[in-house]
Amino acid sequence: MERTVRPLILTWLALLLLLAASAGTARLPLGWLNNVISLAIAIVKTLLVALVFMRLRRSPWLLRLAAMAGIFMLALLFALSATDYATRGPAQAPWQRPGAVAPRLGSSSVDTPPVEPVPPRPGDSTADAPSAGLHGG
Amino acid sequence: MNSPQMRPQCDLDLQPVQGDASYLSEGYTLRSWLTTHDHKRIAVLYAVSITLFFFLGGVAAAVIRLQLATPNGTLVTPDSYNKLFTAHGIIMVWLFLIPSIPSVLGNFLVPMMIGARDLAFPRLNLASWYLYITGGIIVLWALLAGGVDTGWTFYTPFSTMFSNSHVVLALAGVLVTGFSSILTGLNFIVTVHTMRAPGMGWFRLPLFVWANYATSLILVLATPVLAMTLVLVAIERLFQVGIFDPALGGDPLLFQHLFWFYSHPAVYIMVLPAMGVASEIIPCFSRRPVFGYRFMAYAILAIAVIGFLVWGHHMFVSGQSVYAGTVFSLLSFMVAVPSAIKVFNWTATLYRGWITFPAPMLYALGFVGLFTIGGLTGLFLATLALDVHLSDTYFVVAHFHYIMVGGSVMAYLGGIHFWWPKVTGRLYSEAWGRVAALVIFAGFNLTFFPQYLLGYAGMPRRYHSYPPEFQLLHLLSSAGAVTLAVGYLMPLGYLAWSLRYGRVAPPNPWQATGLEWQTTSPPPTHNFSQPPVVVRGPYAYSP
Amino acid sequence: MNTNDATQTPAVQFTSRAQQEEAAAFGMWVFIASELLFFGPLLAGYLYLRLHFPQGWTAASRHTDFLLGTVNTAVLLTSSLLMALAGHAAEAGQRRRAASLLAAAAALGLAFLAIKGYEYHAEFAERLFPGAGFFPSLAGKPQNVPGMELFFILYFALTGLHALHLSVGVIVSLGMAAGLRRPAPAGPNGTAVEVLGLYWHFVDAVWIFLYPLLYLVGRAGG
Repeated sequence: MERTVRPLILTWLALLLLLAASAGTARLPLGWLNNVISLAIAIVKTLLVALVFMRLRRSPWLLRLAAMAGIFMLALLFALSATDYATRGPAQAPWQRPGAVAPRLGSSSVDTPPVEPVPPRPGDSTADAPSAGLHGG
Repeated sequence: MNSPQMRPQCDLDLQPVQGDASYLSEGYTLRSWLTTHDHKRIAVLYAVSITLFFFLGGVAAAVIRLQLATPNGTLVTPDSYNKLFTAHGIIMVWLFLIPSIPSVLGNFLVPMMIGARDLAFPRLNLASWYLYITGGIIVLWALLAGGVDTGWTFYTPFSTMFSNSHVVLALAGVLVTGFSSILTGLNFIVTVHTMRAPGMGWFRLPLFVWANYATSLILVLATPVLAMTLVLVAIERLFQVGIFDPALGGDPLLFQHLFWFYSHPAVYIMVLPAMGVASEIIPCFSRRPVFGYRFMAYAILAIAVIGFLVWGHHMFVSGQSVYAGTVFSLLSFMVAVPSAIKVFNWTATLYRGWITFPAPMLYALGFVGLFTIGGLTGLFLATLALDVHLSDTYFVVAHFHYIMVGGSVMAYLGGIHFWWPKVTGRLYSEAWGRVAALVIFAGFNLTFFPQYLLGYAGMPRRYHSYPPEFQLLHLLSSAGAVTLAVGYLMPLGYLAWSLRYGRVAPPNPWQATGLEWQTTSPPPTHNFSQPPVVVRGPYAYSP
Repeated sequence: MNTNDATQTPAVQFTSRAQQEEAAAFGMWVFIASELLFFGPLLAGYLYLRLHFPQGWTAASRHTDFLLGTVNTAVLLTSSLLMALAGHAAEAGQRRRAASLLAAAAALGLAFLAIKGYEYHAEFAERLFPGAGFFPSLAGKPQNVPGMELFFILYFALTGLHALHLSVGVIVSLGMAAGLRRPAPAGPNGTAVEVLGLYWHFVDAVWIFLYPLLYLVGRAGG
């Protein structure tokens, strides 16, 4: 029992140390390095949890594959969306009417005056006829 | 059809001892069905439920086509029309197509095809069905409470800001159904990895198993993204916080990226199992092994993987950058390659075969042809310049119906007919089966081919009225819809009739080679009286 | 989960105990992969919004409670240790010890939730909940530093979803701790505790990432 417990305790201590490092370095003014360090430490901590606590170190390759599949898919989502976001500016909103639509729960923002919604014509939905480009295929 | 030279995958005599009950006679009470852990009974539960939803979605389609039979139809108000096509989409996609082949045929057959006694997690399987029913009831509630008018795609900002219909309720229903499909996928993945019979290596698996396995990968990895996206839409709608509202700093296109990240792989959830069914039927009725088995398996995986990379092709004209559009267009062309490989291989399987045409074969051949047409038109749509012209027109509608109806639904019906003797222990009427298949094929083409022409001529989709010059094509399409409806009702009739009056089925009426045919029709509760040992690959038909 | 531990009889659909255990662990990993994708859109939204509103992000993150967030991370890491120890004890057949460790892990989980609840309470009081009356003290009106409200939407969504997952873990943990008090073969076995452990560690791993993403942005400003 002792032989299997020691790595767990050591890993836990390492995790706490990394947490302290993460919290500590966050307060140092390092510019963009702050982000890099905090994420790198997070990755190391996750790897420790996965390899030691979740026993991926000693697991069949199948379980490691399952672990990587999820991360890979997430990376795909970010990367391919980035091809869009990296190559255009923020969406220029064709209309700028904050507060025009009241939330269905709670009231609208404190600082903007409420705008009267257009009453629906009978038999119609409140939106105009759907324009091309808002509905995709 | 009675070639004696076929060799099944295992050699043992697996006929159960006289007096062994089948899974159907295990219990006759409703309670025994509703509390079952047997994957075969759960498959039947799914079959009944999705059939109900199919006809509900079909009714919505019928009303749509009746409205569109005349240019300024007054059958329904414009608002109701929006609710109808939304209902049709939501029901057909999430309550029929996604569960159809995996949860009905997959649930029944995957354990049997790999020589297992059940799925890895039988109780989870039952939970999946209950989640599906709950989700279905919530969607029905949303429809009965007044419907949703956002389209099945729930695009923002209409769904989050302006729609006055029961959006959140519909979202909740889809969310619950989504979790049902995630659990089914999880079950299949674990089962196929860990419970194959001795001798059943990966490259001895029937392609139907490969197809359901790849589908399950998509179910597990893509559906959760949809679930969270729908939650975000609900939050946005209820609290107007601005994630998708550009005036408050958000981006409506973020919704589309997240939605289509799931919904494009979702169409592969709908078509991959259909390909698996075709790969079982075609070798059997041409008495030849499938051509290029390994490439067929690799193509299935390739479709699943590349299918995750192409979602932006739904957003070419939405405001996405042209650079991203180019990337997605290129990737979309790539996904056509493994699909084409499969079409070529099915065709090559037929070559110099000993071909017969029972109903399943008619459906499978119809699938191959219609899928090819649908797939080719997908390439037209993947071409950026063409898509500017064709986007949001009936061309798109025709494209996806060719794949989902001409492809998936026909393959589903083919599978139902092919495995009907195994599932029910009865033979259906072959004459009626063939007639229905031909009526469906004719009705389908009459319904949807004119829609390609309509779309190319500029008829927009989701419109309740149109200029008079489009009327002929719309009328043809509506006439086709009537034919199609008749065709779909026919199997209801003769299949139900066969349950009581059909001839008793032998264990292997088609002389097919899979493990599922090496047991009685219908099978005993634990599938095999002794654990099978697999000694050869699939499709050992002799030419 | 099959309960025939002592006799090593697998559930009817499996051919061996080893197969059943492999399936159980693999099944939980597949579920974890799907849960990661469930968090995915929130993280995608985070990525998009942080890149578009860097000032808003740093301003908003400064309103989170650094001390409590760090303490909570330590609490969760320790609960993971206890959970891992519980898994080892259960596999070694030490059911009482495993039950105690599970209960202790659950207690730390509850402590995490309590601290989180206190944080939420404080944030509501400071008018940081998005929607009606959003009014962060350090920045004044939301329009002055755009993106702060969006940060807090993601903050509450991410931590709320995490807390939901943790609550499920706590409940199952307590249930298993109670079940382990019954002698074998009744109650959960080593595999069950192991599989719960996988889930628990996943929840911990998610928090390990949420901590820097939500609490450590722009802390160096002073």
